[in-house]
Amino acid sequence: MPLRDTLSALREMILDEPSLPPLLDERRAILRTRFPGLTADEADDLAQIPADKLAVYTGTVFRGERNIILRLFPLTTALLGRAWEELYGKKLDALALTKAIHRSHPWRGFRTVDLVQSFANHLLSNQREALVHEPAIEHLLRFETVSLDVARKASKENSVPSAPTETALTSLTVDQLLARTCKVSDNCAFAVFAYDVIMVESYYYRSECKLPPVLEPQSLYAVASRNHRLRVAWTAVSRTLHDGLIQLGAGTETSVEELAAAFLSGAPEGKSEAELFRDFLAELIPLERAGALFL
Amino acid sequence: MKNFNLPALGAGLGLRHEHFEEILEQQPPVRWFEIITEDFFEYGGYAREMLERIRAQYRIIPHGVCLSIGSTDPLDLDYLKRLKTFLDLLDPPWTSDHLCFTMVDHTNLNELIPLPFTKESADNVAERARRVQDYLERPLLLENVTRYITVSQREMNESEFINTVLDKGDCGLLLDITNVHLNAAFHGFDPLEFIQSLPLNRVGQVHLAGWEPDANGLVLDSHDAPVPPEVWQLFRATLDLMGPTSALIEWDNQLPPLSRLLEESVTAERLMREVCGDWAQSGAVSHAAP
Repeated sequence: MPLRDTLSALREMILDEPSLPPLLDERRAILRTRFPGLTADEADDLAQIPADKLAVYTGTVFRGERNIILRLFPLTTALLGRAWEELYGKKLDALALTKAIHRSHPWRGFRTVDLVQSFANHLLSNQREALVHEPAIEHLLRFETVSLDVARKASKENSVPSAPTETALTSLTVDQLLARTCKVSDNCAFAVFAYDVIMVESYYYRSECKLPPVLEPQSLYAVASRNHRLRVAWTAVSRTLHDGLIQLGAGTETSVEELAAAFLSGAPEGKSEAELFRDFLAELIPLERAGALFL
Repeated sequence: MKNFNLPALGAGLGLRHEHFEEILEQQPPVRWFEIITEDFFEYGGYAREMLERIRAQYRIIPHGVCLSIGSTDPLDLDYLKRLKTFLDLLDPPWTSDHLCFTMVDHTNLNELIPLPFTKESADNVAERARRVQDYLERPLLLENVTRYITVSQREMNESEFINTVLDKGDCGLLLDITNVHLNAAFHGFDPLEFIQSLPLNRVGQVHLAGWEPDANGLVLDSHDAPVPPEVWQLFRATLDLMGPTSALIEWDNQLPPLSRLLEESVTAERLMREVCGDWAQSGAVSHAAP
């Protein structure tokens, strides 16, 4: 089918940037060999397309993809860039990276998440040296991927009521609070990181897009959710509460008492009941504020 | 048939994240908003919530970029299913996409690549357009794209190609007047003669945009500047040929304040009044959603 070969040839000429020879006859011959379905006229038409005009499309395609990746993964690409400078003594060229992603894991499918998957697969397969040099890159990749997923997830709770107030919970007695039902948001996600990625994000935006000078390993249990402004909020939690929430699952309803029991089961010894309850409340309130829990 | 039997809505603006809250707070006098379909149709979250709130007050017209109507890959049924679900919710009078291909060999090119002007290509688009319209149960407009290359015009030229597609596919045209102007400059033809050669009764909507040359002086269809005088003139001449329409101000990049976009829409409305008289009165169009 000549049309199919014509479109395939265009795809290859734009995305793969084959270096076609300057002579028209040679270009024509290469195209006919590469795409045998082309008629002589079609090969001639394609061969006559000026290379600089094709390059316009190559430029817009890859700049567009680069911009998507930089917009969705600012932390990951910033840290990857730093790793590159430390390892290779040169700046990471984001456009070249995008072309490398295409070569190893082409964007299949129409959705942005398909490009995200290509980016992630490329990093994990083709940037191993950088990932070994700076292990936090993988964690930031996962952090930003989960953030994207939570931000865009279709959810029954798309329209969230007005902002919760802290005093509403803190004014309750212990029994009143424990008796309340508690729903785990259906669009939240739970994750464990080996680096304090929440701190990294906060630092990055506070310091005009700079990364912390050093990233020390530090275990982090976290919950991502959408707050009352429908923005992604990450909340650090104890391992106990994290595991308890995972066991309950997103979208499930329970009582505060059951949640408290999960928290207490892993609580350190030596603390009084009052101290433990204060610790529990200190974790509960941020989760409600972040839209992860509805009480 | 006029306007592909679609309502002439007057001047509209593109709905952009940066303006969401201002639109809800200020309720500007905009007749309608165009959205990029794929930015909303399968997502929840902030953008979707804002769309729901805005469409309670304004008419929303979807414009897609991923249909890839000219491709030889099979139609993406997953894409079409999601699109139909979204359109059934939105219930717009039409939907649109581009007369080009964006994917082939299951590889996304992330760009509107022009098609060869051949019978095979026209027939392929027409057949797919019919199937898409049947499935979506809604009129489909296809937009003429800017093209930096001519893939082939051995069998027919661009005007003949568009005419063949629209006739055989029984679909409408989203006439991008800026793209006509740019293509005429790139490929050496008269833009008004080109517009006159098109089946203007099938034009259901127009796009108007501006551009700034890039750092290397390259002129691209960048949607990052006001509509220039020569495009306004071409728009006026088009109105003279086809009457009132739905005209979108397409300013997506280097986004100005909403007030600046409103100025552009006021210009479009003024031209429509000057050429077409009090068309809005007869159409009883308001900025409220139906």
